[in-house]
Amino acid sequence: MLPELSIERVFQRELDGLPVPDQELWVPARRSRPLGIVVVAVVGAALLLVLAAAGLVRDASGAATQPRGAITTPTSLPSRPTCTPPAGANGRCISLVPNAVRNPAFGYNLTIPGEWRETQMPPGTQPFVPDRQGTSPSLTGPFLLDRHVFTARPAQDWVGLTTVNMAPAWDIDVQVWDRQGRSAQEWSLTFGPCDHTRVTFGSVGCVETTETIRGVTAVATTVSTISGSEMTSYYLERGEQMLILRYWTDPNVAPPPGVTTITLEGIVHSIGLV
Amino acid sequence: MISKDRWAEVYRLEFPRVYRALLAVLRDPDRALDALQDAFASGLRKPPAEDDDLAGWLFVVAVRSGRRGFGRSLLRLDHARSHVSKDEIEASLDRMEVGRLLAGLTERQRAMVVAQFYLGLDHREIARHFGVKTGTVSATLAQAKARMRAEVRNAS
Repeated sequence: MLPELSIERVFQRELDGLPVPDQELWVPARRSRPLGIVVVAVVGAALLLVLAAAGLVRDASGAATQPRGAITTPTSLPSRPTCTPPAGANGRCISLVPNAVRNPAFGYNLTIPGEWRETQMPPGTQPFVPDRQGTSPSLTGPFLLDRHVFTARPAQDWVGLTTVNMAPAWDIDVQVWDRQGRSAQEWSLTFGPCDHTRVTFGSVGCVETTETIRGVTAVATTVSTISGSEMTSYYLERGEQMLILRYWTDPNVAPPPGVTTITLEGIVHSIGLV
Repeated sequence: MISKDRWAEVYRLEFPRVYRALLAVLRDPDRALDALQDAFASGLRKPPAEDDDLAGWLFVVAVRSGRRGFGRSLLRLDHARSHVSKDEIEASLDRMEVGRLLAGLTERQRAMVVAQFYLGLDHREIARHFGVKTGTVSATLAQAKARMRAEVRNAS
């Protein structure tokens, strides 16, 4: 029997007996701790099995020749919602494993989905800076220390999409600047798209928040434009440098298959400072 | 609006309970895991407006995500499959009195029954999360309970 009065208790007793996956499979990634060694070992072993089976691994960091001192744990990243089985795969779909992007020179790691790759901005392009023409401080030249752009588009689709200073919509633009003594907050207000006094591209709203990404405080800004596009920037201080992760979404620009705002947020939130 | 740190904390705390609730509704560990990860990502992108009953929010968003179907998850970890199979979970549920009773319900009925009796949501909360009227919840739960009682009578 299932008496009405005890039904909650019956549900509790029985459903609480259902198994739950190991915690490392669902706990959001955090800055590594001693316990993380076990987690890394388990996930690393699983990853090796996947790699051995699929034979598919790429290092999109552009630093493939860097010595591999440690195994990095891929964070929760989106995969394509659909898949066409490749020829010779016996009709099976093979999902590419995420790529660990390492930038030892500027001390950050990033994880991008397997279908993504790094791309080179055309010569002469500079990152988007609203006050590019301003006199002080200069934001070009030596103050831009490093820049990498990542995309899910194949090369033939990507060509022609760039503007003079912005990576295409649905790509990820990672920049490192000499922060010139200014905080992330000051950068977001003074140099970023949230500078209401200088934005001239039709912004209709700016939302600024502060959040913690894997233990590091970041200032995030999102600017909406009349056309419906949104530019989101994350500013992270790192010593005398400012790390900026930026993407924009545009309803008028078709995203690569499987790429959504969640994909872009997933990449941003995989950032790890080392 | 709750912070992303708070959201991550809620996810960690509530995962076991919400995951089990999803197992009872979806009867598939991988679908449940995918759906819950999707719900977490949705909350990360656009956190719930109110910091109350976040487990209920997670559950309903995950149920909706689960309905989209297995294999369409936006946040699936291909190396992080559940350690138990769908068959094992179905067998476990079939051994349980609750599991057998839920098996005779529609997925929507199962979701509301589990929300009420396992997650402890009242009719008003269920209505708010599912985006339906309280009367609809009452009617759905009444039909579900009638069917469960009939199942108990048949079994005995």
